[in-house]
Amino acid sequence: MTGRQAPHAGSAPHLASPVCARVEVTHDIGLHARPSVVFTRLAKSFPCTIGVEVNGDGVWLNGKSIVKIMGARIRKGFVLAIRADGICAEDAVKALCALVERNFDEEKSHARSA
Amino acid sequence: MPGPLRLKGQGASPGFARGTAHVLPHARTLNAATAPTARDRECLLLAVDETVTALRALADGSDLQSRAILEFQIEMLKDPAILEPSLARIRKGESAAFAWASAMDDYVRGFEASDDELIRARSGDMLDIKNQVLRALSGEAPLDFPRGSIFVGRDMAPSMFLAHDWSGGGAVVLFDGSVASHVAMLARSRGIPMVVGVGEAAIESGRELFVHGGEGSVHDIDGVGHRPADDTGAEPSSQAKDQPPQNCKTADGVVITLCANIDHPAELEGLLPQLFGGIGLLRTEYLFPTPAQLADEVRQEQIYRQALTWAQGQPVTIRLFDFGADKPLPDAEVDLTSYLGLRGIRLLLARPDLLRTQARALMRAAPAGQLRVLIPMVTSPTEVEQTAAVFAAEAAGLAERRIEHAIPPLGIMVEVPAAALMPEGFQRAAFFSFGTNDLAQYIGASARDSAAVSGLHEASRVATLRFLHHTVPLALATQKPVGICGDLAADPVALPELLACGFREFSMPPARMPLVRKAISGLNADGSKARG
Repeated sequence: MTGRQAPHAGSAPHLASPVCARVEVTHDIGLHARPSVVFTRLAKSFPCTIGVEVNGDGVWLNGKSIVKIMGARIRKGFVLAIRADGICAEDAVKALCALVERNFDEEKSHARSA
Repeated sequence: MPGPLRLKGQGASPGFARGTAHVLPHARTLNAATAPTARDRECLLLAVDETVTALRALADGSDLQSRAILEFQIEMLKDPAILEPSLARIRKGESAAFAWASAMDDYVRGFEASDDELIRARSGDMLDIKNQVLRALSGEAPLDFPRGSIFVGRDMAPSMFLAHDWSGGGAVVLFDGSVASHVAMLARSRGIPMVVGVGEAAIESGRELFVHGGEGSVHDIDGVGHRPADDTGAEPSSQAKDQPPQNCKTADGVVITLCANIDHPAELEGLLPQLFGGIGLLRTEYLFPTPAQLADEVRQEQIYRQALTWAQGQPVTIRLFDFGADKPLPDAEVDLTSYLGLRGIRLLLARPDLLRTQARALMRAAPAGQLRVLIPMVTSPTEVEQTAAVFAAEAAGLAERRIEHAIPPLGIMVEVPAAALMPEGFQRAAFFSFGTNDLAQYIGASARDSAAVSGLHEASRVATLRFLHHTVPLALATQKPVGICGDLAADPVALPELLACGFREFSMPPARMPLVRKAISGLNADGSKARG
């Protein structure tokens, strides 16, 4: 199941305009330690700024800060708005939403370690 | 080539030693060009970097699961956001170690307060991160000198004495210093020969020296072709193993409790707790020579717990940090050398970060035994009330975090004449412990680390005994336990007077105990000589 909406990307892809998308957290536990590591590392791999808003509360957290993301205590069923501004903004939002939908690749990682 | 060397000073600790001189190089200038806050900021950033590098190396060699945990810690440390509260504290003037420890404690509390089990579980990682960075902060190599050599210098830091491995012998020779300094007390309690006040001497490292601690002389081997004949004073180290167990009695059968004065639980190794009435004084100011260690609550708790475990249920009196005067605070940026200024509890109340950390560590260790906490340099009852309030507040915090703890009774050092004269005013104090070293210097108005006024110490001593005759009965009248833990307590010559004052509990370096035990058995409880 997914709560993802289509990114409303700007008409000109090279014009750096903010991109935003919503995604529901389906991971059973939410953004605890390992998912936060994976999420913020992916966010940091993009040059644009990335903000995360939790359940539409109007507060934009730095998506590259594990301290802020962990601090938000994000759990299953929470809806995240992911907003990127700058170079590769669209790619960033797509990749991060996909990561949340894939449950942070948790199962795969477990399969590897098993 | 210098001529023969013959130096005369005061013997501060008896014994004879021969060894190679190690002359302490000139002290480095601290607080160089950088402003304190800039330096602290830099230190913290560096310590965080070092920790990340170390964690990275560890992670690279770990299995997948361990690596995931380490990667989490690495990411937390690499996030500039984690440093924000610490840097804000540093800007307000806190030292790097305390800023970091306090800021991380806030995170830990935040995690622990969560109703989410998984978030709560992460508080352990935060503590781990906190302590690793603290260790990195304290990472500078400690000053030390070769085993078995003769330390020569202007003065010696007690922490340096304690950090050194004395098992190879050696001795201490100081240009300045006093027989009553803390490092001299340490030397006596460890049986390390020490001579102080030899004056500025041109000794170069590598010279072979004889040190005669008993007579206060230092020669080089060319200066005397022979070893001094009367090698008296040495060997206080023969332990009390064949002494009768339990505490001693006066000739007329009054039980006298003899406790140990120590500076580190390591001194207790090989000592039987049954021979002692517990620990009468554990000084804490030499245990943590760096600001990072001072801020490390868990490390403190472990050391306190060691002493409590050793005592097997007997009372253990741990004194709060007694910094100031001759015992510099590791992270102090102001001059605290005045004996009449900010020292002991005055300094702790002015630096509540220190006091709060120590209070928590003590209360967390307290369930391991019978802990009593001693407050140094108390002048007024308000100071005891303020200290008790800090313990109560920190206990509430520990309870909230569901950390096992106990609130110990708080007693006071009686070393300020004003406190000695007014014991009935200290309603919050659970016990009194007379600290005669400081009391004597305040009565004689002669600093105990000043060689220039050392001639006045004897006069102060006599006056101090008279002062005790007046004030000990006042303390006893409060019905609270009263003891003595100064050097005087280990002086067989003073014992008759001290018994006559009413003291029944004496605390001293373990090495002095056989002598005192023997002296007491020849005296009546009123201090008179027993017949026969």
